[in-house]
Amino acid sequence: MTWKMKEVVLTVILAVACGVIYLGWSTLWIPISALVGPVGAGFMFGIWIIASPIVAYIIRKPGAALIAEVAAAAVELLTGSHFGLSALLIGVFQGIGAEIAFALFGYKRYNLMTLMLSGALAAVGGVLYNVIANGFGYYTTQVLITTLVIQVISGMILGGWLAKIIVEALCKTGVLDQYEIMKVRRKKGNANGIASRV
Amino acid sequence: MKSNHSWLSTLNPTIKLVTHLLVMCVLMAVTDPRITLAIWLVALVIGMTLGGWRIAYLLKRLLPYTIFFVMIFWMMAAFGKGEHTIWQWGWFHITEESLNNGLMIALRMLGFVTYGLLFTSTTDLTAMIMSLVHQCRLSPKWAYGLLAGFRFIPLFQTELTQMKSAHKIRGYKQKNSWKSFIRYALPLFTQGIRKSERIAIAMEARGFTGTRQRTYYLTPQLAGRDGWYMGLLLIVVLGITFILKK
Repeated sequence: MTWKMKEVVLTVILAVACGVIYLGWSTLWIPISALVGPVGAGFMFGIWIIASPIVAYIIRKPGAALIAEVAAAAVELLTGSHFGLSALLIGVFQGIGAEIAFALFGYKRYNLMTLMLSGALAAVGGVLYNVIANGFGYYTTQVLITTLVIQVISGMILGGWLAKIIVEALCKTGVLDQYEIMKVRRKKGNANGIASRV
Repeated sequence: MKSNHSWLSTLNPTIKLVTHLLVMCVLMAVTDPRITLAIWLVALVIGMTLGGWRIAYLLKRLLPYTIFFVMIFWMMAAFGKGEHTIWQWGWFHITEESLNNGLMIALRMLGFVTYGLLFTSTTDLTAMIMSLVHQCRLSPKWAYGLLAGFRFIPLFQTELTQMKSAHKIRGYKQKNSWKSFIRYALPLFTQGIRKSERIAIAMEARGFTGTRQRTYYLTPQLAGRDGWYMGLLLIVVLGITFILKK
């Protein structure tokens, strides 16, 4: 499946917009996490992976989730996030996690369930990176498991579910009319229309 | 991401990126705070000698991270595992081991940031993307798509602050974070999608098909000094880990 130019630019620009939002979110995260610990702050996690479900849901192509997340992470790096090059690495981990969810269904199914699954798997990828690089393995086992559970839930709600809400809202504005998501819907709508007429 | 005029900025961006990522992998594997400190100091020395960093620049860029340093140290110290309790209050539980780990993780974070800064402060974004095209076989479609997209970072940043002030002036108060997230994200995304469509059409209208058979105004190549930098830095970093190992 080849990418059209406008899909390439859309992916990059949505990733850039997400990256800009991530950056603001990052500065909010550190003070909160110092107060309530990484466990309590885990509820904020989902926003950082939202690029994957949003772009994958609109474009519906293999690799979209991974590319979007890596590009968003690159934006964080370019704008001088306090996570430095590690922002890029964690983006790769989260992106692979999110990509797996769509690959599991052969890039055929795009509904709330797959979006939430991609949020959850991206959270798993993020925790995996944190265990390897940021010493999450040194936290007590209860703390680590609670972190994982909270981040997975946050990934499902703030990542998957919120992404669905945002994309649905975007569909209503009509800016997505020329992209895969609306094409599929029109096709479905037509089929239904014909069926009902028959 | 803009390059300065140091020796480091003359290196091939891809090689520099790979080298720094490899050093970060070494940092991840190291569990001794002394080694982490030494590797971080290597980055500082490189920045001062080859990277063209002035003391003032260094202080300006790294001082904000001292706050994060303390916070990460605290997080790891207060919530880490360990046997020898030093202090306990509420859900905070500080032990000797967690203090040690906290110091190591905080230094590692500082190392990540400094190696990242070493890369971003000496690399030109355009050269970097072009180098990815030539050294990593990235397709020009993605390369120019990325370049076009990254131009929008400052624009989105100003748009976001503008929207925030516009909301403020109309008396909008942030109630809960995810609702305010939608409030800001939605206009940002719609504008972004409109712009992306226009850019794509403009690129295609100017004959951009995205094939590799095209001319490039910039063709970054590999030179001897890239190999020297990569080799020497890795030898120094690995040497430190072996010498300081107990």
